[in-house]
Amino acid sequence: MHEMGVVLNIVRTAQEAAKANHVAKIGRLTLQVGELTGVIPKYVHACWPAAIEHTILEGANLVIEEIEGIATCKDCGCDYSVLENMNADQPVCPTCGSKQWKVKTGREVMIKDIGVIDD
Amino acid sequence: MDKIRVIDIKRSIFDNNDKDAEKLREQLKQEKTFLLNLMSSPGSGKTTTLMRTIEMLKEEIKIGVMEADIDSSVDAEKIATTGVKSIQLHTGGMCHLDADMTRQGLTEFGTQDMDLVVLENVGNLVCPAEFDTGAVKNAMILSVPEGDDKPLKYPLMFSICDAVLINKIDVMSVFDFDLEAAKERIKALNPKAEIFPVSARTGEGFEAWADWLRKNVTAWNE
Ligand SMILES: Nc1nc2c(ncn2[C@@H]2O[C@H](COP(=O)(O)OP(=O)(O)O)[C@@H](O)[C@H]2O)c(=O)[nH]1
Ligand SMILES: [Mg+2]
Ligand SMILES: [Zn+2]
Repeated sequence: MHEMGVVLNIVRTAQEAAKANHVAKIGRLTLQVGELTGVIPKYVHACWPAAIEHTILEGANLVIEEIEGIATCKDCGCDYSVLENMNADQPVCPTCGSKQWKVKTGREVMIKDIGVIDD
Repeated sequence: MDKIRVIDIKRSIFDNNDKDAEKLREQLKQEKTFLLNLMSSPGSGKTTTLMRTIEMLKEEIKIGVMEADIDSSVDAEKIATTGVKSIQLHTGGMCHLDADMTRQGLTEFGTQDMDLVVLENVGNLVCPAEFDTGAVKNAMILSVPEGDDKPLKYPLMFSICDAVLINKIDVMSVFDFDLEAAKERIKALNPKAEIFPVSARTGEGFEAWADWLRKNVTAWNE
């Protein structure tokens, strides 16, 4: 499953971040997931407990924030929601009707922050 | 109650892999080995295309094949019949290879003296698109039965590929496949993609594809 690979990378990245910040235990992690990635929040939650066992994240809560998929129209320059402007499987600019676009947001999988419990 | 202190991280989880991939490319450059990452849905024709490509290039280029597709020990055996070396990687059910797994595979395989190594990636169009394997170039195969609207459904995959092969053009009329529409959709996602309509069954279109590959391998290894 794709999400397992993603979660293993989250653990690795979080471990490095914890080390850099001299943190021994993480209690919570906020993950930002773009709407246009193949990562499905439900499945990330599903494999979370197994992936964090015996790591610095053991027992940590996972909070997922979804990031909207926004496209910039290559013709008129306006920004619009990709998923709300799909027409026959293809985003179409609501302002000028162009089908030429590039992604502005929605492809990221980022650790936004971690919550640590200080003794 | 304990107080929770929040630390901002703002780091992409692909960062580590991207760095590993960059390092692997540097190593491949030094060893003069070109790594091609070949991706597609299951059954699009990766193995068949590879067999024909190998037959065309094996006299001039030293080739090796790393099989990562699930249940593809058969594929590794087929490749072996062409006389080039191949290895079956065990991905443990993972849906993609990352740069670290690729590097380990190359080491186990022993690729220093090879000019071209082809990685037959796991058959799916979502996960491999998100993980840079460290390959020098990415190629994907879209086969005619999958439909000319496939690029719209997998925009990321099409946008990261340097070459897109449209395979099984021998059955284009049966599937009512609109080649121009498919090309246009690929170009909209990725203006730089080189598109090769081919048939791995009849060999049609393979000259152009083999030329592209030969040119890229030579440029990387000089
Ligand atoms: N008609 C036709 N069939 C093809 C072509 N290329 C591959 N196939 C068939 O498609 C099936 C899957 O091919 P294979 O190379 O194993 O796909 P892979 O799973 O991507 O490695 C096999 O039955 C092939 O014979 C082609 O160009 N035309
Ligand atoms: Mg195969
Ligand atoms: Zn517009």
